[in-house]
Amino acid sequence: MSGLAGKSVGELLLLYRDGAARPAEVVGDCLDAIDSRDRVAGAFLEVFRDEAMARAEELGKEDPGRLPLYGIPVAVKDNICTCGLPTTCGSKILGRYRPPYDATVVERLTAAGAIIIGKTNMDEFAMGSSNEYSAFGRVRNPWNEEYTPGGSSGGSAAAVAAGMVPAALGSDTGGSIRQPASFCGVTGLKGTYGRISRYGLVAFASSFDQIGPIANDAEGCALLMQALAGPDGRDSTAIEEDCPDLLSGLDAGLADLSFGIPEELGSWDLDPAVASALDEASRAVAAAGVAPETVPLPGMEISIACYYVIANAEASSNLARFDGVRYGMRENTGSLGSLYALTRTAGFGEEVKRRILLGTYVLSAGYYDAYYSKALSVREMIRKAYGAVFSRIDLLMLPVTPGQAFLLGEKLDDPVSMYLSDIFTTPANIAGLPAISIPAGLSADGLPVGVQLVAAAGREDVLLRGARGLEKLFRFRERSVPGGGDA
Amino acid sequence: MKLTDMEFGDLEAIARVDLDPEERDRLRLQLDRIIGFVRKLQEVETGGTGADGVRGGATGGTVTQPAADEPGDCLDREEVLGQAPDREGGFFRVPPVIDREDGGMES
Repeated sequence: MSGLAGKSVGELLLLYRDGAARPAEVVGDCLDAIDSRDRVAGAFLEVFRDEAMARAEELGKEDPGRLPLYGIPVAVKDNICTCGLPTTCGSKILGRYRPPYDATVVERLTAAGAIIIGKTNMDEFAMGSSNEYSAFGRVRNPWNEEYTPGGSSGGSAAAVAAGMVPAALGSDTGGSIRQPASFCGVTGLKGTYGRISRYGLVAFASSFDQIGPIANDAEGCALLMQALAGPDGRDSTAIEEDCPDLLSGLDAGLADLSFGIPEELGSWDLDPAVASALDEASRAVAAAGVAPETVPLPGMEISIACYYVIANAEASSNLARFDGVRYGMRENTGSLGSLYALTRTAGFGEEVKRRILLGTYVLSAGYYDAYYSKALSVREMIRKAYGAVFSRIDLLMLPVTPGQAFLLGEKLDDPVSMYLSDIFTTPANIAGLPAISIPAGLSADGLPVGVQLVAAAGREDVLLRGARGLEKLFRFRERSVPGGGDA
Repeated sequence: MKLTDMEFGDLEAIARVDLDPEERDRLRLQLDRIIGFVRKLQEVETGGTGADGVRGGATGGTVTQPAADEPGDCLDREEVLGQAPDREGGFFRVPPVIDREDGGMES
């Protein structure tokens, strides 16, 4: 059966349980799809062909009903450690790195019956919003190859959108799952901070970083999240309580959910397609129950500055470990001090250097209070504002980005403009809240546009239920496919 | 306010990077612009919420629990050293670190 790779996670599980497909067939179809489509897309850095097929054959002997992700091929962003297999973070400095351990998420996926099929391209160390900052080539948007897929999990989003895999893992520090999901017309979920263990995720900004799923629909995200979430003794920031049941209430509908739309959105110059997707979502919610109320959300505009100060301060500290001594590349020279500098200068790309320098600046004596301490205070202010909003409503609805996907190269010379594309995604990271991007429609250029939902901390169940409800109204997957045609 | 040559040189030294002149000029201009952009944080009235911000972070005040102080499994030494760009026996090998009195370097 062809087209298996483009099925949703839920559809594949049903096929397995009905005996209508076997894991080896599905993996074979994914590998064929990668062979034929990835030459242009550039979504994969590594494909674990033999390992994936061997695992599929093994699973073929087991009962499909026993494992929650039985036979689901999953692509993994290349900043997540895979034991003995390449984990480059899209950086030359880790070009030959093979971690001696698996990330917790890789262990959990495997234990749940999933098949790790390969590693996906990304902006170097997850620093970027277009995937153009990878040291190993850019990724193209499957809807139009002149456009970026977004970033930094652009490879993961493009792999799902192009029908190469039914699901992928990304990581979201300031929107790096949701923004590429929106640009590529797929669903991307970032959980509450600490919902998924960060053990084995190469650290960028530790107080923001979260791993999360990208899939064709909310159900796929829910199935993966349920398998990935939960306490982990190897990550002290992992939430100690178990994740709520994300599946049994998924189809409960929108009727008794209350929605809010930020008042401050009115002052933003939104792309017409983004504005119309939000209007459509708002009307749909009103038709299903209660019209969304307008809620004040101060701090949205300042969130980008707050995010870039704290995230890069953390990055400058986290990336100090790449010194050419214990792993990764080394530029040999006569003294230890110059070995550090030459290795880092040759190993890091320009965006990474830019961010390390900014982080170093805001942490330096004389500027620490004015930038870093101030940003921490603003973070607390934003967190409180969100807390107040979620005492009134269940779900906040807002755009994922101000505009559709941008052209390759369009923002490369203007870092601030690139940073501003994260304006609507960073607040959920700043406040540690769960958020999801759902594909809503197509722009006049035929590019996907998403809508974002944000929920109170710990309420991924409400978030996914809202996403599932909206998805049924948008019917995006039934209406549109990459390449311009209707489904 | 723009970064002076000396300030930018200090940043490079602390960050352990050594840019070529062209990259230095470009990044310095961009950094000036980015710092100008994040400077608007200083206009925000936060009314002394700083301490909580430092403690709470993203988890909103939840205090993370340290791991129990008990021996556990650790990574295999050979596997870890196998990733090193250079090694000698059970150690990571690096260039000389300490100057000798006669001007040479200890290895």
